[in-house]
Amino acid sequence: MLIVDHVSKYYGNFIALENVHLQFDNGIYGLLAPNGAGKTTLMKMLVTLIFPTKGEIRYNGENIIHLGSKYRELLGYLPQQFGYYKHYTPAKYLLYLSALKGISKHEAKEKIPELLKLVGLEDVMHKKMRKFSGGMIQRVGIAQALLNDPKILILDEPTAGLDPTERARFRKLLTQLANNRIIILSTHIVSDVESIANEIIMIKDKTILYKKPIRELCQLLSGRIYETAADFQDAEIFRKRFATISEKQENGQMIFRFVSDEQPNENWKSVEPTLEDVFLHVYGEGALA
Amino acid sequence: MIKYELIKVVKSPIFIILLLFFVALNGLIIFDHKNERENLPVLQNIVEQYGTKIDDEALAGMKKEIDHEMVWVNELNPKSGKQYQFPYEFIKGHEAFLYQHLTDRELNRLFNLNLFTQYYETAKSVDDIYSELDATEFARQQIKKYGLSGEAEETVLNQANLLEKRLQQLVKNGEHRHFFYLGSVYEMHSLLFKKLGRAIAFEGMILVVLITALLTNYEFEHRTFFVAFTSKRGRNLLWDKLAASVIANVCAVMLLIAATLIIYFSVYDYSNLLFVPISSYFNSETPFPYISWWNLSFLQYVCLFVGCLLLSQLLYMLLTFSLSIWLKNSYLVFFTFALFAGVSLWLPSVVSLNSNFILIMHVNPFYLIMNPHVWFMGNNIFTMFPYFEAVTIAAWAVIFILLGFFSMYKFKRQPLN
Ligand SMILES: Nc1ncnc2c1ncn2[C@@H]1O[C@H](COP(=O)(O)OP(=O)(O)O)[C@@H](O)[C@H]1O
Ligand SMILES: [Mg+2]
Repeated sequence: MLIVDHVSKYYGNFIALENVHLQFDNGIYGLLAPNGAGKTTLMKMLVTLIFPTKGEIRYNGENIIHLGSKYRELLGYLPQQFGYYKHYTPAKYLLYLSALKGISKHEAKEKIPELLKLVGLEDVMHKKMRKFSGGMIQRVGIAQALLNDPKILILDEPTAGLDPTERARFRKLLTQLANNRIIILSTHIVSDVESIANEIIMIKDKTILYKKPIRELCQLLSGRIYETAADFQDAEIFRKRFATISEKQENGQMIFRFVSDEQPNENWKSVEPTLEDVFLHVYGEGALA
Repeated sequence: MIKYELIKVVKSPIFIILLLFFVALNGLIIFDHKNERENLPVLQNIVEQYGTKIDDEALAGMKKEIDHEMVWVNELNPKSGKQYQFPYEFIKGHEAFLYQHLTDRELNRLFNLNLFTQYYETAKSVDDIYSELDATEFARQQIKKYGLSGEAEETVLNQANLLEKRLQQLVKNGEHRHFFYLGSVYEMHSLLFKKLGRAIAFEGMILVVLITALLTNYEFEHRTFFVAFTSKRGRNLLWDKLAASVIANVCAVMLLIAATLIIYFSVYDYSNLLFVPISSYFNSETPFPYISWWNLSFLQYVCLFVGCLLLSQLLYMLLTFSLSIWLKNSYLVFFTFALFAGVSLWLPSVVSLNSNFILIMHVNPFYLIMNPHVWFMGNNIFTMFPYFEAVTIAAWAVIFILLGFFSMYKFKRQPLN
């Protein structure tokens, strides 16, 4: 069990996170917040790249800093900026990282092709990474994080650069891995975590706003989400009069959604809240409502 | 892990290119004055015939050889009918004649004889010269030249006393009475230990700083530190880097030294001179001859010299290692290192000349390589201590090792962003 115990992180005078308290058991946690909220900061503390200004992080009751290599041994980490060596092949780079992770060469040589296949890079595993696309590099990063079969898997915006098929495959991969480890992934894209996360963590105003299963999050807005269709020509009027949280096009019409405590008129239809509604409500223009 | 670190060095072509470039440069230095040194075999012949030790037997033999050759010389110029005893008497005033009437072969024979005579005369005068040598007087002149006074002057004069004792012992050992390439003519000691020694020291320094900075900053410059330092090995990876630095730097510096010495010794033949004491009078290039603090043969001196060169390079490695931990950027490291070296060399020039502080300021790892030709010798008043080199290296090794541990301690607690 991993506990973030009343942790604050300051960069000089700048407060990045204040009094963050979290507890992780096995399962998938989606760290969902817009850019600049402090997701990377939290993750860097979880992997001991940076240290809390206040509070501490404990794994099974011990401070992770004191655990040192015994903690890092359990760690898989995909940083937001995954660095690599252009003149290395994925297979060679993973072999190098295996050595750093204390995995025997023999074991690594068996594991590496499996992992690269899992992320769909088996055809290019012996090609230099110089010409790889962003998505391919990202998948090398995902494979790398899994090398040591980590008990704690920390993925900072893992879907960045992945196309829709790759995203789907990635989500499938995570659910397969989830049963006996802690997986924390950060994203600002709702669909990345919508179907797979056991719990969603939302950071707002430097601290944790919610840590709940998706169903419970949606219940927060239950009965308060309304939807209506309008013609294009009326769209501007709508936007001015109501604090819409989202709008989309459907069959030549605009569909508007917004939050309200009561039904404004009978044209508005009450609908089930989605995670996206919650996200937009919390971080969107109507965040104060 | 050390293996992977070493691969990073080997895979960087810059080091091989630099190493080859430096060896070529040293080759140029070696060949540069080769023409002025084409008469070196004259000494080889002397040594082959009489051994390296100057004794009465050798002197008598040489005189006999000169007398024999002078018969031929006196026949060259029957017109004057004058009988010369030594070739230089004949050469003087006959230059035009020589070049007009003698064949190249004859000229060569004559000049070689002249050089042979020079060795003979020098050998004969050695005892007289050493009986008049005065280390204290030498120190006084140098003190005046550099303007030392007060406490510093006193210290140097005390050291001169020590040198005087060593001088007496040297004479007793007969270290000075050995044939060697004439220093006053060929300056072989300066060529090997000053020009080449200094060149190697600076080239080595460049290699060492580059290699160490590359290794230590590698993850930061490639932005792979997020993964590398969160792995099981984590920040202890830096110890592997240090070990790899030692191996890579020792290899690079030793290759540089070995290649340079191989070229040098294949161009200039020392095969019969390896056991000649380094303090031989023939080695001296200035009125005050080289005086090593111990009775060292040329070969022993070369070995100590190489050891000292190598250790000084390891000092630069330690400094670069610590600088890299703090700066995490090779360019910044080069710049700071250069600044450090510059300040170390500049500081002694602004310290007042009347206290021992001026002497202490010279105990620094950069000043050390400025005058490698007087290592282990009493010929420089600022370094006139028998263990100057050992103390400099040991003191700074301790300082840099402590700095390294401190940097490592800090690094383990440093946020890596
Ligand atoms: N090293 C740093 N020094 C100063 N401020 C930083 C540093 N890293 C991040 N920040 C600031 O902290 C806040 C949170 O950043 P970050 O954790 O990267 O957010 P996220 O990953 O959610 O986009 C941002 O305002 C960012 O500018
Ligand atoms: Mg981020």
